[in-house]
Amino acid sequence: MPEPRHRNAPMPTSDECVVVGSGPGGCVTAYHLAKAGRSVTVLEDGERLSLDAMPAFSRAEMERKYRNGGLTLAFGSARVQYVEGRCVGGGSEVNSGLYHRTPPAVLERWREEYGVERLDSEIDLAEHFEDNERRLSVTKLPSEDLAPPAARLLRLGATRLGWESLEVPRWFKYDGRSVGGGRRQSMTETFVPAMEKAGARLVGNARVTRVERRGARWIVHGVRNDRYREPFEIATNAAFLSAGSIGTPAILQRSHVGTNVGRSLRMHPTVKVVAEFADEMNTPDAGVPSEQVKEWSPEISFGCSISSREHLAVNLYGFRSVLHDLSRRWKRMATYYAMAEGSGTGTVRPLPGFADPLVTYALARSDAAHLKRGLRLLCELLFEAGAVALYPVVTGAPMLRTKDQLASIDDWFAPAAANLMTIHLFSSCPMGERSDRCALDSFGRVRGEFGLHVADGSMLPTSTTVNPQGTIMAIARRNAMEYLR
Amino acid sequence: MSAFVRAVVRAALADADGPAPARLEAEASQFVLRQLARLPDFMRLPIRGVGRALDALAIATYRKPFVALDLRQQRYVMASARGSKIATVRDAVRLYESLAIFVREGTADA
Repeated sequence: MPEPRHRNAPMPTSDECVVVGSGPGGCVTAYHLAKAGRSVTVLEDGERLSLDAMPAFSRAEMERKYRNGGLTLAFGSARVQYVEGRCVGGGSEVNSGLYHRTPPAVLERWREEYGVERLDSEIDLAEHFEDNERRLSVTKLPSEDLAPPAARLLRLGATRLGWESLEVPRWFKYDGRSVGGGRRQSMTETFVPAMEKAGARLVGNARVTRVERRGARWIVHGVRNDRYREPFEIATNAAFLSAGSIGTPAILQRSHVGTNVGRSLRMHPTVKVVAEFADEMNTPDAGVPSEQVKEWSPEISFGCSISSREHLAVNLYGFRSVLHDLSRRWKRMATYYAMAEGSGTGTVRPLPGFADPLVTYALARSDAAHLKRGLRLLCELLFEAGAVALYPVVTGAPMLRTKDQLASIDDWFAPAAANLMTIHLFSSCPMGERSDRCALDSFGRVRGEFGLHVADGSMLPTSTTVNPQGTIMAIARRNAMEYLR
Repeated sequence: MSAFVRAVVRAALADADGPAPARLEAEASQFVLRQLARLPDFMRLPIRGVGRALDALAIATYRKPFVALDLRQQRYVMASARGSKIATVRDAVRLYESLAIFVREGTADA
């Protein structure tokens, strides 16, 4: 089906509010500003595409909806591949829509260690969570029978070991009739039409490079990503940077604005393993199951990853004989992950003469230990679930056929060989009242800069220990309300 | 660059029975080239530099640049590069091969 043409608003020269980025933080912010009667322009680096413009997790999606085609890397002793959305709707268009509220212990840590004011899940965030959950159709499966087989196997293994396993709610309108049936939700399905209805203008293919203070206003500078490559400038009373945990600190640093910017990037480093079972359990439309094992949380969590044939093939790169036999075996395989809380920190630094910032991450010793332990425990669980072979996505790792082989993990596991990846990035511009470590105040305002705000994952002071999107949207809503007060 | 990428993709997709279908090789080569163009700009040069490393390996082994080798020789050089002591060479070969395999498996049942 051809992609319908969407309206791309003309670029204004000035507006009351400008939101840079249309991911969850930017869309929630823009919606509430527009609904309150503010004149709002949203600038998005990527294209405007509908949720089903191309199959989920496909090559076409990688090319058109991911930043740098999905080939982004944090450098360090152990390199970590990270992925970010680059399209209208941002990461919400390319992820599986898993949803968590912020754990109370995390909010307590933010209050105590970063001095974040008025942040309590029960009192200060509840209305924000509830409103976002309603708009996004956050829900669980209508019946356990509709869980994909990969999820049921993860639960089976956990149950046999006596470990806690749970279904995570997600943004989804289930049809209640078939496994995977229904419609995933995202920003283009929810907040984008709502914010446009409220009067916000959305301009796609517009890359913001820096902001500049001119008198009482901010000038947002950028370049059109379309074939004309025209530079643009928009003057505004209030700029909200929602360009993501890499993009936002890069813009601030290029603008020579702010302190404590881009020095405290955090992430959830993740290691994967492919499990092969005796019977077929995988299908092309399996998606990403929403089962997670939280027995070892917050340090370690387990879950299901993308298991399409082409993604399995990439994960099995080191197992060439299996790869050559994939056509016969892939329907018996699924990919699972072990995710560490992430105690290390990283940096985001623009490089002179280059458009893309350099990202580094120093994996903490505790991260390395959690990843190794997590992988071992996950393998144990998968054997309990009936796996006949396991293929750790670790360079040089052996194929595992029995639990006893896990005793040799010290011989082959090293973080640098573990092909680590993450989809959760945050904390590169932390908020709070501690001026020695925070780039923003408790409500996302850049310290010392009137009219400049941040509304994305970069403002979260530390790891959320769970998928951060619910937290980002709740805090974006809270901060927008504070701005409007 | 495109001749080099085509040769690498050809070697990555071939098996013991011979080369993959020409149409698949062409599709995968185009995808790899587009993805290389999307890499963060500071990474493009080092990744493209792997061509020099493969040429050096090819010349050291067969006295010919990589693109001038036959398929069997190219596969041998690629296998050597996979085990290189230089992480950038290993990573770059993995990147090229993974992208090519991603196309092959994504179109296998189409």
